[in-house]
Amino acid sequence: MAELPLEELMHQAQQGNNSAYRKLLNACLPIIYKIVRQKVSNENVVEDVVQEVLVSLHQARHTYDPQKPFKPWLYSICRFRTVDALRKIYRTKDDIYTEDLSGEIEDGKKNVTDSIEDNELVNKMMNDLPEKQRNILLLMKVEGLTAAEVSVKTGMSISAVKVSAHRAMKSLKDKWGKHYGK
Amino acid sequence: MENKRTNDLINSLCADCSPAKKFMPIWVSALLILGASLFYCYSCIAVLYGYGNEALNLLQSLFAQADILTAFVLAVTAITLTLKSAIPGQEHLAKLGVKISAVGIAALFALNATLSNWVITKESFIPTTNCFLEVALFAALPIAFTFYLLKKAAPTDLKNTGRLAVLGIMFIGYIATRLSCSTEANTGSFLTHVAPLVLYAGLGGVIGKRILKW
Repeated sequence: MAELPLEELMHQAQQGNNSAYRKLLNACLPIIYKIVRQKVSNENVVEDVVQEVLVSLHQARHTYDPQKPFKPWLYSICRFRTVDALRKIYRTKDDIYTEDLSGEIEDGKKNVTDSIEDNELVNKMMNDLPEKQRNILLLMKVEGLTAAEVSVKTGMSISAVKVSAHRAMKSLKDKWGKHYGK
Repeated sequence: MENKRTNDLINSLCADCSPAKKFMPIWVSALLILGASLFYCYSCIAVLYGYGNEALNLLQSLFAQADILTAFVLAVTAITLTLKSAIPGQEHLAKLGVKISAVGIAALFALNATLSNWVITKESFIPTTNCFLEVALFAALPIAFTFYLLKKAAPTDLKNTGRLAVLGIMFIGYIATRLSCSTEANTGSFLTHVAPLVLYAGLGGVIGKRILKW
């Protein structure tokens, strides 16, 4: 049996046809994943956004006009929810950067002065970082510059500085954890 | 790669697949909004200024006819585009509507400048607050009604849809203010009739981003 087009599946779903609706949602899933992954790299966030898109599709299904193409309608909902999720990420990420970085500074100081071995480990981990991340970390942690000052010095945007710093700290944390078996 | 939570969600959405409620045709919603706005504005004028309002004599002047007709056409266009833009896939109509409204406001200015007895005195540069507040009064309830109808849809450009919704109703408010403000057009009255359109539209964008979320 030939696959029904998405427009027809959606029309049947609007009339309460469960199996058409299931086929439609399963057919939409790869499309939704593709659109969301273009903007969001974190897989956990991708899953959350995909689920929000599915719920939004369900809530808004009464607005779809069966005479019109289905994909633009779907793309619009995907973009809307993806942009929403990205806004939330950028809003909360600022707080994460501030908290993470200040926490790591205190832990780092305490750990580095504990032993020569730890000191050497930190130096090795820093040298293993990509040059850009290492430079940013040195400017912020050792020289004590703010993200804004680093951005002026390096010519990068403030958010790029914060992203780099966060990735560097995360990388150090992961390596530290692996070394000590956590 | 789908995960279990997503599959569970699909199962529960399919279990909840009752027939979708009928979506009101755009033209019906637009007529409702226009009808409610005009009736509300007429009632406000009747209450504030009485049924024998001499300002209605303004309708005999070419300037007033052109001014009111232009504002009415802009109102119908803005309200229709707002309602259409509240459907996913058509959100670009909200931005288009805002641009058309901006051109429309320029057209209103041109009309005021060319067809009216353009009075320029030092008093005419002093805007009065009455019209600022009146145009908001004439638009308040219809705007609330419009947002109520928009929430039944699924707008995806909340800021521009909110702006356009407010602009559409404000054009009706502009007509009501023109009828209730019986002075000839001058710079002062034009500013206090048109400046609110721009200011409240900005506010409409802010309100839209909050109220129209779904």
